[in-house]
Amino acid sequence: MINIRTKAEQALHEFIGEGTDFRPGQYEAIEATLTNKRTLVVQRTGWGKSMVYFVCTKLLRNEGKGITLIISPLLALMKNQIEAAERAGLRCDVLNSTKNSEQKAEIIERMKNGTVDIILTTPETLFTQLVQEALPQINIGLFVVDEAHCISDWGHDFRLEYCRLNKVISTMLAGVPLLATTATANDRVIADLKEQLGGNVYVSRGPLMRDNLSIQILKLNGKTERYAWLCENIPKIPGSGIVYCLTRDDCDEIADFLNKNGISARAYYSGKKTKNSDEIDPNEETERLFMNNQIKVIVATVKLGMGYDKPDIAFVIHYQTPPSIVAYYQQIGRAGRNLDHAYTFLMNGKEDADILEYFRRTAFPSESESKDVYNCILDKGNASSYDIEKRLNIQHGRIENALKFLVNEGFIYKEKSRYYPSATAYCYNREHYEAITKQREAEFAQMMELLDTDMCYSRFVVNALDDKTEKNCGICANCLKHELISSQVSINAIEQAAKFLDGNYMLIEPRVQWANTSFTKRIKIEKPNETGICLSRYGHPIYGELVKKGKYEDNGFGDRLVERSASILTPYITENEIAALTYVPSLRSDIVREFAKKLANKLGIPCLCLLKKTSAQQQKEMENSSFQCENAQRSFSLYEDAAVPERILLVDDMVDSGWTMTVCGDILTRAGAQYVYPFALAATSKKDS
Amino acid sequence: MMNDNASIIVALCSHLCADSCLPLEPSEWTKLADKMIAQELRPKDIPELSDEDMKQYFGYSEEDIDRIKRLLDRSGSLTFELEKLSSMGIRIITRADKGYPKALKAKLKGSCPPLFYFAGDLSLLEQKTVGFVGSRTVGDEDTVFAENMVSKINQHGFGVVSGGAKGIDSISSAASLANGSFCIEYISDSFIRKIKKKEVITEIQDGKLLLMSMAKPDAGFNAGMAMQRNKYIYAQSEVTIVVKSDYNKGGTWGGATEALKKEYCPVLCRDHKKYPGNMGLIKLGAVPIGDSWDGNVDNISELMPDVGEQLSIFDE
Repeated sequence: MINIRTKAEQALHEFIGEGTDFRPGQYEAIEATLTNKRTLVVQRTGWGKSMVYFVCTKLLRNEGKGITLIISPLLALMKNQIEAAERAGLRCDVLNSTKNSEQKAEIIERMKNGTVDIILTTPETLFTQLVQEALPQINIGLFVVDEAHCISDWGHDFRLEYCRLNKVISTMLAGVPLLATTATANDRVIADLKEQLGGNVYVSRGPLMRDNLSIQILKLNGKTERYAWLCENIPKIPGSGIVYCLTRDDCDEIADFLNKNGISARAYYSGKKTKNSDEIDPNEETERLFMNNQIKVIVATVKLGMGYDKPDIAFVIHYQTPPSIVAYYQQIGRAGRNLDHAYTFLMNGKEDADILEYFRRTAFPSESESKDVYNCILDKGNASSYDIEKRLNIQHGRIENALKFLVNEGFIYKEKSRYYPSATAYCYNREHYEAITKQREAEFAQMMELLDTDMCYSRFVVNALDDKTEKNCGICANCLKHELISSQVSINAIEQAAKFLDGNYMLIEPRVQWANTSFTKRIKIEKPNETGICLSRYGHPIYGELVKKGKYEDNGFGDRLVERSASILTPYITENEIAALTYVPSLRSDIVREFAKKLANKLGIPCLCLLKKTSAQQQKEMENSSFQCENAQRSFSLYEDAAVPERILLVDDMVDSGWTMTVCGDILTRAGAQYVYPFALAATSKKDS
Repeated sequence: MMNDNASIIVALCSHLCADSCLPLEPSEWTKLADKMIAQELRPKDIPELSDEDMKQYFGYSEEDIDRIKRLLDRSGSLTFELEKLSSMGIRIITRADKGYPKALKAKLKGSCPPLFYFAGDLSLLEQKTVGFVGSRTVGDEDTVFAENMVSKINQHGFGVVSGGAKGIDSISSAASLANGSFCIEYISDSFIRKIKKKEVITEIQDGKLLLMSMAKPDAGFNAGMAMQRNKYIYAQSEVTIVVKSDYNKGGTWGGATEALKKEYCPVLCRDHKKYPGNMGLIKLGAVPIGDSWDGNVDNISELMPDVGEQLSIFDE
């Protein structure tokens, strides 16, 4: 052991200079990794986890062992880390989606011939075919899993690649040193990780409190108030920061709002699409702009998480409450890595509990969804997700979720784009999933307690993570006994927010590809609709609320909606030389037709009756593209004597999947329309989980 | 998680990830294992041994030691391959694991392979089975005979062991499964391809079919490997029935003559005058059976012409 210590200290000196010492716990973690083979490090950001794997790598490489593979959501090592590694003669590189295929091939070659010492890669890249095919020829001396809480079932994340990584780790042959690190784990997650890592695990655990992060809770529940606070106060905080939201829609809307109020912001969430595949990924673009301080704010879902390491994030604001203290600690932990002080603010919307309840409820597929999807694959021997979508009336996202779940549980596996049943017999472990859901409910309840505590906020947070410190941070709003920034918002800011929320409307991006149905294959739509307009988010202030009321209480859309629609549409009608409007017919109610007539009257164009509805299946009961598209294809047709103008506005009350608009647009196009412009009163929400 | 001894066996003997190193063959592993036993070492101790230790204990040359190190060094990449297999439901069992086929250990001793890839319920290995072997190309008459025999042994509570190949192997397996009984297949190639078949998956999931492969799961056909696995069928089963064999050539002949010589188990052979291979095996000591055999394996000694000599097998 003395031998290891001497060598480790020598290595440390090579990294950070003579006369330096290990920080408390670092050497012990190194020794454990090199001898015990299974080590879990739970230490706060800044403790120096990287030094543990640097020193281990140095020692292992000196003994002629293989390279160190770090699996981390981080896209890059910090500059100072790379410099330290290079001083000690370690060659580092990253292998991830930021590299082009030529660079990737070159790095993989170096991994094979051992002319690199440390490779940082993401779980996503690790499981690409390219890397998987190369792995048999790569000699791995040390395996590091960063953000290891993600491989726990009980962690707050549920990402397929981490689930797979979890399996790799449980399969890991003895003799491969394994180091797992995280800054975020409570006792339960640690216990689970110990089991995953296998039997004899050395745990290094230190204090979690970050003494440069001050926490303040803002008791603002209304959307307008929260918007007002954001635009009034963000400019006051020097530097850049993150606003965390629970849904993609909120990200888009807030980013738009901030920009309109002179605060440069960009939205960031998974599934942010590019129009062409050769365009840069908008999220990467956002990361780059933020990193270079070219925008002040990223408005993000949980998607912007562990993988992003900007050292000078000055503030983190939660527009909505995160699901747990673990997630909260992780997210505020983005701030102030390299700053003396950073600010965090936590808001709580009245919608949060509902959204989070929805996330919890849908985190696991239901027993029937899971079984239906599994049986569909087993029956056919193998299936693609499109095959399944065509057979099962289950939402695309729910099918994807069920597939992910079934892969994770080891009941199916994927090859190319097809899923095969594995030899493992299917079962649905309901108790286990319910236990996790229950646990998540309890974690959310704990999160809600934070909102009302009069204890030091930081202490409350780290205590919740089972760091039982009795020390207060001294810098949070509770310790200081005053607000860091006033939660009061000015009338002026409220007006600004209200004006935005009133006037905001959305675009309807047309579908460009058919779904797989009895009528169509997944081919390009020959003449898609034009980009259309949607007045509001369903149920949101102010017009979205009016739409909801009109639909379910008044049985008609009132004058305010007609006027508002006309005022948005007037310039659009003129600009696009739209000659007439028509509407999506319904067998159940006349409210769309009545609204369309009033709107046409206001706009001074004719309202034409062109489409007829032939089937009575409710579109909202159709759960995925194949079923929605097919139902719409069966439902609508053209009146025989209809004369369709070249440029026409197509009006409906609600837009959800967009298939009704797509199919109706296609019918009109076939009957002679050159340009179809969709218009809807409200869009239903898309959620991000 | 794999136990430490099993981990080392896999690292040293698996043919996965073996592009730049040569895994230990079963005989090499056995030699090493014997030397370890002599030193009271266990597989998990190997990584801790110095070069000197290895020279002294195992009589290894520098080259041998380098080979062992390279094999151990692939543990990390090997893990990823094992995970991939495990996602398909293919797992690995080594001589250091409890579930390893006991009959093979008992009968084959040092020549039983260090590890098997498998899919299915290992407890089938504990049940009584009859082996079925025969050529890949068969006529209707052979099929009828095989199916008839399978039904009879099934009625006596025996399952089928076969090689999972075309012809007699798959006919016997299918018959046993169709009768609601079970089947163990010692396959020698194409595991991954086989496990993509719906019928195969369903039978495995129902606990009726166990696939065992010494060859790595993505391996294609290899005559040597096919030959090697014949002995697992004989060793696993109480008795093995030869339905049809070529004379003095081919896998069935080779496997049956080896089994007769090494006395892995009593060999029964279809008494068919027009099949010179069958007649040849009977001449070498295989017990002739015809359509009228009742399938009662426990009374097999009654059929044996030279009772005294054959009994020695059971006396062991």
